[in-house]
Amino acid sequence: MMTDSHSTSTPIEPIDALITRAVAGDQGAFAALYDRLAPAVYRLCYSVLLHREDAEDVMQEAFVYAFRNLRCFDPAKSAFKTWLFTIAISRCRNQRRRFTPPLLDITEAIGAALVSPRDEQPETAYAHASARQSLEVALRRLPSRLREAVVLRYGHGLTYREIAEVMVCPQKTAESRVRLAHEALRGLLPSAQGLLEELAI
Amino acid sequence: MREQERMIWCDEVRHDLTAFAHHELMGVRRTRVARHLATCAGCDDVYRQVTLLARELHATTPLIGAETRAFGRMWQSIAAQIVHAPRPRVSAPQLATGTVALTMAIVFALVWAPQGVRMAPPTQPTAVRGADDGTPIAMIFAETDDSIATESRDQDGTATPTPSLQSNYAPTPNATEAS
Repeated sequence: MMTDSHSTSTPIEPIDALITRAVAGDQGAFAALYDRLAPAVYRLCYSVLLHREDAEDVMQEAFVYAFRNLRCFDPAKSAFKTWLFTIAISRCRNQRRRFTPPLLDITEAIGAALVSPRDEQPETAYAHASARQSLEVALRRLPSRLREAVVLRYGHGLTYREIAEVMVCPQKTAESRVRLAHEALRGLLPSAQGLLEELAI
Repeated sequence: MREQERMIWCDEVRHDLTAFAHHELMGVRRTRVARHLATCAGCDDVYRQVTLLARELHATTPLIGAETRAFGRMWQSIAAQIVHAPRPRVSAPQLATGTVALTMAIVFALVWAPQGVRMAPPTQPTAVRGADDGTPIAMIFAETDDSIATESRDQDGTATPTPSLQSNYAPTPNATEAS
C-alpha cells in the first residue's frame, strides 16, 4: 500500500537483515522497516501526545532521523524497536516543549465511528470506543513521564528494563513511574473498570 | 508496636505489587511479596485490583492511536527526506580528535624541524665595524674571508674595496666635490 518496493521484501524477513540491507542503501528495506514499525511508533507518539497531527509529525521526524543514522544503531546495545522508541519519545518531549496550542481534532470529535474495525459487532465496538475514550481522558490528566511509562508498559508490552532504556532512566525509576501511573489510573478510571471484562474482550 | 511494623511491611509490599503483577520482580523480593500476599487480606485485595486494572490497560491502551489512514502519505514524505539526506556531519569527538592531531603535528614540526630549515639571520658585514672605529676598509677586508670578492687591487698592489661595498660602507672620496 505504501510503496511498490514492499513486494520485494518478504513479511518474515528479520529486522536485522532489513537493517543490513538498508545500511547498504536498499530503499526497499527502508520501506519494509517502515511498514513493520510505523503503526507501533505512531501509536506510541499518539498515546504520549494525544494529538493526531503532532503524532504524525513526530513519527516522521523519528523515522527520518533513525534512517539517516542507521549506521549508528548497535544491535548489541538494544533492539531496533527500543532504539526507535527512544528516538520517538525524545521527539515527543521536544514537541511538548514547543507546545502548540490545542487544535480541534475532527477524528477525535467523531472518534468512535472511525476507530472500530469493520468486522466488530456494534456492542463490542461501542465498548472499545468507550474504554478508549475513558483511558484517553485519564491519560491526559497524568504527568507526561507517567503517561510515557504506562503507554510503553501497557500499549507496547515493554519490560521495565526496556522502558528504562527508552526513557533514559534507571530501571527502578521506570518501576516507580509505572506504579505511580497505575495508582493514579486506579483513581481516574472507576467507570471503565470491569467494562471490558464484562464484555469478555 | 507490632501493628506499626505490619503497616510498614504492607507499605513496602504494596510498593512492589505492580512489578509483581507484571512478573518483573525477581529473587528475594518476589518471594517476600508472595509470602505476604498469602497472609495479608488487605494487600491481597489491592493486588487483585492491580491485576484487574493491568488487564484492562493491556486491552485498552493498544487501541489508542491504532488507526490512521496517513501511513502512505507519511512514507512519501519520509522517503523524500532520506533520499536527499545531507552528508553525515562530523561528530564532536571526531572533530576534537582531528583538532588535537593537527595541533600536535604543528607543534612537533616547529620543535623538531632541521636546523637548516630555519632562516639564519643575515650576518652584518664587518665593514660596519670598520666604518665606526676608523679602521681602513682594506684592512678590514683583509681580515675577513678571502673567498668573498670584496676588494680589487690596483696596479701598485694597493687593495681597494669593490665599488658596491665602497658606496655602501665607506665615504665617497669625491662626494663633497661632486656636490
